[in-house]
Amino acid sequence: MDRRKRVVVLRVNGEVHERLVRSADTLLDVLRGGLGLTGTRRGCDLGTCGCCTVQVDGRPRLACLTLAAEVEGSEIRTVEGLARDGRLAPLQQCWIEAGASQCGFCSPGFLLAADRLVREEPEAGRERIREALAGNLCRCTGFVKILDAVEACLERARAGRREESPA
Amino acid sequence: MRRFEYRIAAGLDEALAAASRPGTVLKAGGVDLLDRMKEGIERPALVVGLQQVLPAGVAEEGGGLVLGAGTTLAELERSPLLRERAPALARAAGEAATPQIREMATLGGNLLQMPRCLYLRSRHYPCEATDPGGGCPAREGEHETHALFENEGCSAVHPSNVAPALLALEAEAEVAGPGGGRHVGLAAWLGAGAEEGGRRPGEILLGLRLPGRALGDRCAHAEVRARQSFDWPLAMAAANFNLEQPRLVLGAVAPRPWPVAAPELLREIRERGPEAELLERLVTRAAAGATPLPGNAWRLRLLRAAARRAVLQALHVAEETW
Repeated sequence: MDRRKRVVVLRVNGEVHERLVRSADTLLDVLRGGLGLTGTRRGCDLGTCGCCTVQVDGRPRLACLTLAAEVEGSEIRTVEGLARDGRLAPLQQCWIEAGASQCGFCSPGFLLAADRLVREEPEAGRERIREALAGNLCRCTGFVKILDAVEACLERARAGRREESPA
Repeated sequence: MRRFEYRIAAGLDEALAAASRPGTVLKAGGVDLLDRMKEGIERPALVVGLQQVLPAGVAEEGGGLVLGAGTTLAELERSPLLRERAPALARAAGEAATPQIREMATLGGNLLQMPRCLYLRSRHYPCEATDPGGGCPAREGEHETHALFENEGCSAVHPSNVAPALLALEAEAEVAGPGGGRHVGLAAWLGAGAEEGGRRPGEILLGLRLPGRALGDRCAHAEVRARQSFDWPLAMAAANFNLEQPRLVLGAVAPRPWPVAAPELLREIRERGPEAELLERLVTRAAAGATPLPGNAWRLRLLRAAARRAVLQALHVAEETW
């Protein structure tokens, strides 16, 4: 067999996929081409725009600079894995309400970067949100509505917790 | 990207053999490497992954700290040990690139990435670095971000965000090589010729050791950029007053991390505090000997600002008071 190809087993959004890939294939190539998960966007393809952000074991990474062969055994999460049982995640709902998508090209990458913040830093304020999203570029919104969406999601979650434990 | 064969090195011997084989490149985080391969300026037949070879993590050892070369910048940024005992380094790691890139990029890769000169990273320009004697196209061309010191040959600046902080922390490198392992000061390994302890062909950086004498909360990293995030620094500085002999090291101003030779001034500042006149003398000393190019002399002011901020922050003095 061509030694520049190999079979990889990828775990994406909880499902296991086995594919024959080239060593030169990035995770982005395989997600979009091999698995048809086109929610992960190919923007600059050089690690500059953040559009291809996915989560690998819960951490945001750039799929365009990750070799598919190097994430075997990791849990990969893409934008297709955010909704549960046909219902949008609270972050996605806030995205719609704030009008954080215009053309929508950058949204998946932003969502995966923001999801990490929402999960791990429930007390994050505006400044932390800005820092967490510093690796994602948007050319439509001017960013303000995106920051609003994430802030609203964090605030809603905090309000929900206060209701649960009024003490 | 052109096709290549990919293997994960099972052990150090395999990695060392690969390091000396033509047409082969070693890969850690791969952020810089994949960029270069996509741009066509690196065309290896074989890529060897070091993920099972490079140690990762921050640990205490003999009063100091040991950092694996495979530790990501995000791990350095988050490490409670570093934030408490070497805050300059945690900050330097956290200022680099973007959150996503910091999750991928390693400590070793940050130190050993290719300089970010547009000419050097282009297939279309012969230059000093790729063709010694070819002359540096940046001198006649775009050189705003190029070196202010030691820029007679290749004028690209050293690209590492963490190198100035590591030198201010007197880091020692642990390297493996074809002739065996050795420990060498990071400053020499990065900046000196092979005969003076500098990097030798086929060597692999395994980790760094920060001595206990350099650790504590009186150290800081400061950088000046055009944008608040995701930008290369125009000047940076790391100051460390934990040491008996305090240190100040500049970055993004020379082809190597640039220590400021002002031992007495730094001691005086530690004893008397950062008085305005002392600080002014220090930043003047920091800029001394610079040979700026016509388009980047303005960055000398940023160099002074970075040095000043690093010193004030290391001594926990609010900048507004000066």
